[in-house]
Amino acid sequence: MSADIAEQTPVGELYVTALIRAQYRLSLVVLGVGVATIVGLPLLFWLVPASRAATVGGLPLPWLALWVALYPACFGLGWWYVRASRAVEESFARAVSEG
Amino acid sequence: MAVGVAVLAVALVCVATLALGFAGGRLSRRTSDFYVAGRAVTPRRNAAAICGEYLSAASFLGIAGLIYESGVESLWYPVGFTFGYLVLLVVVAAPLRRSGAYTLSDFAEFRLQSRRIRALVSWLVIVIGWLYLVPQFIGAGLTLRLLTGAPPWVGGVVVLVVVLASVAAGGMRAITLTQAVQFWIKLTAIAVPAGILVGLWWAQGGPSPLETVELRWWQPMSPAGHDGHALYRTLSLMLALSLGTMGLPHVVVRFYTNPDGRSARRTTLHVVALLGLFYVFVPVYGVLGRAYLPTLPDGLRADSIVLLLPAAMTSDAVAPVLVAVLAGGAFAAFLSTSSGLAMAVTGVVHQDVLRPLLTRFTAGDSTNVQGFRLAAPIAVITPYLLSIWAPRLPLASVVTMAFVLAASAFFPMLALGVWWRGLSVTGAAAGMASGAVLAGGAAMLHVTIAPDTGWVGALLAQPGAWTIPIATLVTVVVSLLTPTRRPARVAAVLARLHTPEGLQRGV
Repeated sequence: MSADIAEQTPVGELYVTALIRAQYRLSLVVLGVGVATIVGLPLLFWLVPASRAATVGGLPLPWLALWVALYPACFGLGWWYVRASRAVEESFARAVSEG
Repeated sequence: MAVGVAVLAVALVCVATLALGFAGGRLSRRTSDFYVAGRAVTPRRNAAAICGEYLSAASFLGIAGLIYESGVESLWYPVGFTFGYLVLLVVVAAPLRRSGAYTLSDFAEFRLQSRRIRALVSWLVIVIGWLYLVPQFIGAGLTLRLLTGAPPWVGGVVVLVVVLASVAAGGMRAITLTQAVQFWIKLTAIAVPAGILVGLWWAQGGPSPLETVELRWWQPMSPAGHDGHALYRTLSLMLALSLGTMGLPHVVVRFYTNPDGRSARRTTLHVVALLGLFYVFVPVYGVLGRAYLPTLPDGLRADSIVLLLPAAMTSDAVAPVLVAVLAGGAFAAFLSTSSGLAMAVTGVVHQDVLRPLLTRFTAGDSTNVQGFRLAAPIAVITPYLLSIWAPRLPLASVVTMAFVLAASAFFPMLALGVWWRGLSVTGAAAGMASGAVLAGGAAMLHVTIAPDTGWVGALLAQPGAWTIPIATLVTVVVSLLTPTRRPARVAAVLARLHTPEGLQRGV
């Protein structure tokens, strides 16, 4: 089967197309969540004036979010992606070795 | 005495950089070592090296200066500088590694199978590298001037000499080791003084920044802030920073040193963590600066706030020591970013400009290593000269221009190249050319004639929101119009980019 991958047989190409599509969907999910956050926050501050002065535990929400909170969120998203993309590759490898 | 300690710290960082460069240089004898560090770098060290190279004058001095000046809105800069790696991770990290490309030019040639595309990419890499080098020289100039009163060009010369010497001596392996070390120097140099200064502020019962600032400094999107286009400016900035990272010449090079696609992903994730760690400390200087220094001393730019703060907070003997640590860290930032960029630009100048010429003139007599050492001065002296004539812009703004240019020119080619089989040679070329012309033109107009306010001002100050989509659209439309100009064997190339290493055989 891995010969099919290397030699671009129709079957091999089918597997690879499925792999690329799965990875593509995964990337879109991560980008979607990321963009929603990055675009959502400024939009929130812009549309809802009260959010600009809101506080969480005595600290101003905009400062808290932009100074600290977005970094662990970014890392968490990336961590999830690294695991998920690896799982996609492993199931691809299984499909190839079984096929 | 205060001056002495700080100059000593700067000298120490320069000497350490040189020593590491020469030590590594003895290890790298063959040409391949010059380029790829023997490919034996772990994700952790590689991530530290990427951060060491990435955290430049803009991050070490510039962001704090912007926060000092415009408050909460400027916190988006470090968020964008970090978010760019998340985008890089999910869009290109593993495929870029699997392409086996060492530079952006290699990737373009591999994906599009065209020498002419390669030449276009190479020229753009040189321009982006130069643009990014300029603020490093400016930062070094203003730091040394602040410490010693030396004219601004002196600091630039120091960086120039150290970078040239270490690049010529060491090559990539030295640089990888140096860069990893530089990251930890920079993190320590920004974090420890930040902690001490916050402690000092606490102990003094120091002023709150909120007492001295206007509403628009501490509230985002306030109607009084900017010129009423704050939302556009923020979103446009974030787009450019998010998509520009993957097109930076000194970042891409590092991915080749990963053993495979998976470790490229892990490296990128480590980078996100390390950058977040660094950037949490940076705003301390901008915020405390606001509290202690309501106005800057005459003739000094906001970029100096990191170095001015300690003396403004205390007259104890601790202040000069903190300034020395910060100055050392700042020089680590100038040197590491400059050497990374110098390596990347030198590689391109050597491979794509000088080598063809040398081969013609010497009939193949010159060695590769000689050509490489000849290319280095060309790569570094030009941006140094530019830095002397550069207009007085905040460091982080100049770096942002490089991001806009990188995103506009390279994001469509990279992202579509990895994910879309329809990309044609003509489409990629048209997209890169239009992106570069639009972003370059906007930057040019912004520094020369543009108003600071109004829609025109906002569109030119943060052009990413229109230059990047237009370049992408041009790439797609022209590709669709020229289906015959798609590279041959595109299916095999895409398979290679996405198939895990264990399952692929040479394409």
